[in-house]
Formats: sequence, C-alpha cells, structure tokens
Amino acid sequence: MTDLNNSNLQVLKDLNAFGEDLSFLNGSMKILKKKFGDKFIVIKDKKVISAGDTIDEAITDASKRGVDVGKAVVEFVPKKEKVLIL
Amino acid sequence: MDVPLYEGKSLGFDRILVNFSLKFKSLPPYPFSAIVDTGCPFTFISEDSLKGKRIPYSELKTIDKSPVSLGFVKLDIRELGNYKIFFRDINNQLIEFEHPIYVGVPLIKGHLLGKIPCFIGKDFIDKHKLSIITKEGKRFLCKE
Repeated sequence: MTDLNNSNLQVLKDLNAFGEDLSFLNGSMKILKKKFGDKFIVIKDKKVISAGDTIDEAITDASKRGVDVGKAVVEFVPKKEKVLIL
Repeated sequence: MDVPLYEGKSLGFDRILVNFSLKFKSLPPYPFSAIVDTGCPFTFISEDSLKGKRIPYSELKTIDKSPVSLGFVKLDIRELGNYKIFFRDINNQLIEFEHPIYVGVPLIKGHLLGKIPCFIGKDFIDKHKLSIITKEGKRFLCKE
C-alpha cells in the first residue's frame, strides 16, 4: 500500500470518526442542553471532553487533556436556539 | 459520485449539512461540517471552526465585498486560497476537489449566535458541476 493510500485511509478514518461524533452531538442534544446549556463543548470519541463559557476555554481544556482538537467536534450548546433564515 | 448529505440543527433550523476534510499546505487534513447553501455566494470556513486547528488566518487579504451579514452578525471575509477538499462518498471513497476557500471572521466578538457554521456555497456547486438530489428519501451531492 502506498503512502498516499495510507494518507487517504487516515482522512477517511478521521472523517468517519468526526461524523460519528456529530451524530452523538445531534442525538444527545436534549441531555447536553440540560448539562451544558449555553456552553461550548468539545466532543471526541462520542464523549464530552471539555466545556467552557468561551470556545477558547473549551479548546484549551481539551488540549490539556491530550485531545487533538483539530479533529474533534467543537460546538455551542444553546439553552434556547437563535433562529436565522438564510 | 454520491456524497451523502444529512440534516442537522444549525442556527435554529434543520439544515442540509455535509462533512469534509480540508488540506491546508503541509498540515494534516482537518474535518469540518458545513451547511450546503446554494444561496450563499462563496464557500467559507468560520473562524470558530478554525479554532484548535493550526490554519493561520489573521494576515489574510479581505475581499472587496466585506463585510457581509449573516443575520445580525457582520463577517469579514478573507481569502485563504485554493485548497483541496475531500468528501467521503457512499462507497467510502475519497472524492477530491480543489477550490478557493474563504474564512468568515465576525467583526464583533462575543456575538449571540454561538458558533458560526461553515458554508459550502453556490460557487462550489457551480464550479464542480454538482447538484443536490434525493434518492429514496436521502439527499446526496452528485455530479451533473
């Protein structure tokens, strides 16, 4: 297998893991709102790794815990949705 | 190629979303999710989505039409450049595109939108001759 194939496999693996973490986020939103309402959270491997009042706070905390934040899901959990028509 | 799209909550509504990886220079590809919006003139990554990734954006050139409004938030649109984007198709194969990518930076910090999403815009759909089609109740991004 070539390096390119290995590299592609890693991209696929990261995309799949990212998709699963997003599914976890969407499927758990009700519970997450109760626990992390109006906070930014970092999710990796279907677990909430950190939470913070700002995105920087949540990311810094997750990094300290050894998570590669660049490949994690970072999202805001609103207590009440801000609605926008695009 | 059929790239699966999915519905997810963003800015208060269920939107059509897609996941992709962006390869920036020598950095490893980073995954993102984006709203697929044929009404959005360009494809951009939000500043919020770049946090934690090592992609620099503070020194980038701002486009002439900046700022643009996303609801009540004004965004500075900066040119990141032409980069590779990878999607996963239904056969678990990577589909690669090269496309000009912008970065959306809110002019006001601490805005009330929470996290600003990324957008795959009309420019991307048009340039790569793509369309959004529905098959058996599922949506896909397909080549025309």
